[in-house]
Amino acid sequence: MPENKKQNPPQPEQKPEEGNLYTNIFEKKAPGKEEKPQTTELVEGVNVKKEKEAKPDENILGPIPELEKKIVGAFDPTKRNLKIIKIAFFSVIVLCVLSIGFFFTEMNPDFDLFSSVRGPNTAQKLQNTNQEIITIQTSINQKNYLLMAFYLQELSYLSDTYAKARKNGVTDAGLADLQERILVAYENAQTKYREPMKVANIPEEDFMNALKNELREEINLLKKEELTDVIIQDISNYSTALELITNKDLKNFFNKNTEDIRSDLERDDASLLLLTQQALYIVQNNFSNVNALKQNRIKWSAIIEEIEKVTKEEDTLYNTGFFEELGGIRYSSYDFDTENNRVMISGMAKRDDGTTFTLITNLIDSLQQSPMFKTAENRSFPKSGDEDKGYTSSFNIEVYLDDEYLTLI
Amino acid sequence: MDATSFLKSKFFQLRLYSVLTLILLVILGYYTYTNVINLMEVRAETATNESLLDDLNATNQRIETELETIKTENQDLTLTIQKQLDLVLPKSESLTSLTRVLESFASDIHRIKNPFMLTNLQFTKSKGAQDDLGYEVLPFKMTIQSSYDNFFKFLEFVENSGTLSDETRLLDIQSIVINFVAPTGSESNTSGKDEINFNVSMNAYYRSPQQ
Repeated sequence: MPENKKQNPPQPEQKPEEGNLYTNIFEKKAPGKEEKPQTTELVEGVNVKKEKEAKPDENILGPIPELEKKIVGAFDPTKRNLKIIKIAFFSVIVLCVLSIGFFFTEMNPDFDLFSSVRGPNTAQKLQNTNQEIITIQTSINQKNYLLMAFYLQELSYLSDTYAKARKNGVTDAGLADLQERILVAYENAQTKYREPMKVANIPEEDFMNALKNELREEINLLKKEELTDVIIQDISNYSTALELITNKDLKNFFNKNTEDIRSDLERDDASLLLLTQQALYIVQNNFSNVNALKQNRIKWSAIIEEIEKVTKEEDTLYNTGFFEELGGIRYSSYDFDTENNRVMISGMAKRDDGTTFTLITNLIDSLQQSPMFKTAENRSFPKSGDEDKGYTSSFNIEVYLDDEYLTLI
Repeated sequence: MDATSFLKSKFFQLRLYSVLTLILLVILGYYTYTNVINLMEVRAETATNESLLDDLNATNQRIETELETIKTENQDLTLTIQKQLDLVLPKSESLTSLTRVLESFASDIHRIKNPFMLTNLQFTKSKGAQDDLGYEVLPFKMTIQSSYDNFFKFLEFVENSGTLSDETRLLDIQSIVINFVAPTGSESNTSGKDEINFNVSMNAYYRSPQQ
């Protein structure tokens, strides 16, 4: 275009009536084109001179002739191609619209316009099958967890029975039968735990949430019914199943190999005992409550036995009925305080030679050396008596149960 | 417009349309290709799901049967566990049954030469739920005249309480104050065994109402 401008600069002589014959051969006078105002010859002469001075190399033949658009149009080589390409272009646009429309109607799960006529679209079909899978798999998961809850309850019961059987001394056959029942209950629960919770490409969290909601719904429905023994048991099972879903200890609990435990039984039952102890606490229920309370109890009989054993080390005639005649140690009271794990031992020491303080301090040292106690002390040492009746000293020894012993209870 | 410009404009249009058509074709091709692939995947997944649904329905049916069988076969065990738990950790304070159990134990071991006499029993107010653990505490105090031997039997009774198979209520000693009133050999001793008085503070437990 700039070339064209260069060849055909705007010149005053391009006026149609005054231009060159060849330059106007195909041109018409523009209908709205106004004639230039008449100027004086002098002014025109000056203008022409100025223009000639400004463009000295101008083609003396004037601008190159141009073809009449209409004539060219008749022989236009692009016309057919343009038509074809335009058709192609618009066809592609139509195809684009159709393609977008088709995929929108097929792949948008929220598109419902034709669903009453042609049924659900592809995306909806997938969504429906996914939903159906979640529903059925949730039902399977629910039953698996209920079964696992049942097997764990059985395992807890057998574990409690096993602890009693070991203590009371049951026959070997009875114990072996109990051991096998424990292992079978564990295996059953383990199998249920290992059942896959998710299927297809649906995230596990979807199944987990669906299961929680389902169990909560069941519990709420059961609570509205008359609370018979069966209903209470069902509520307990559903609650246990609900708790199992979020129980992080299960993974560790169910990683045991029962065949290893069976082979260990030929040597001792340590592995099985560990399993039964874990089984009692794996689920927070009445079993675990009872066992936790039992485990936290202080065995006072063992403590009294330990006090007596330590006392006999210092007074060989302790509790033989010769205190009045031969002296020694006699207790008047024990005060056991579970809250502070403290024992107050009150009593009397008697010696003919008057060395009652030594006897008391020896007793304190022996108590302190016992693995069951710590920080034994007696702050007051009174003494009374005479050479004839012997010397007596009362004492109030305060001892605390050792922390290590408490963890072993 | 002159003829040259006209022709150039036409060629320009031709080129423009050609380029646009090509670009659109490429976009359409890519869009259609990816969506067809996606559509085929979705349809394949749907078909897989439908097949999976058949399997899941069968599994569901099988587990349903298994659950029902387990429930039926072990109904007795479940009821036994429930009954024993009700005795070990009852649903309420059950003061009367606890009192009977304690006096029954006392009368079983009491002998003139080997006494164990429950002289005072006092229940205090329940402490209520313990940190939402599912049980509540019932504290009580007892005063007992006993031989030293029977005192050990009492300790053993408390230490073994709460075993399901024994069907004994779960008890726990909080504190004991033992007074040796008539040690063996002392003038006041009549039984020939150490005679003691002891005050014991204990806890019994029961299930929280929401359990």
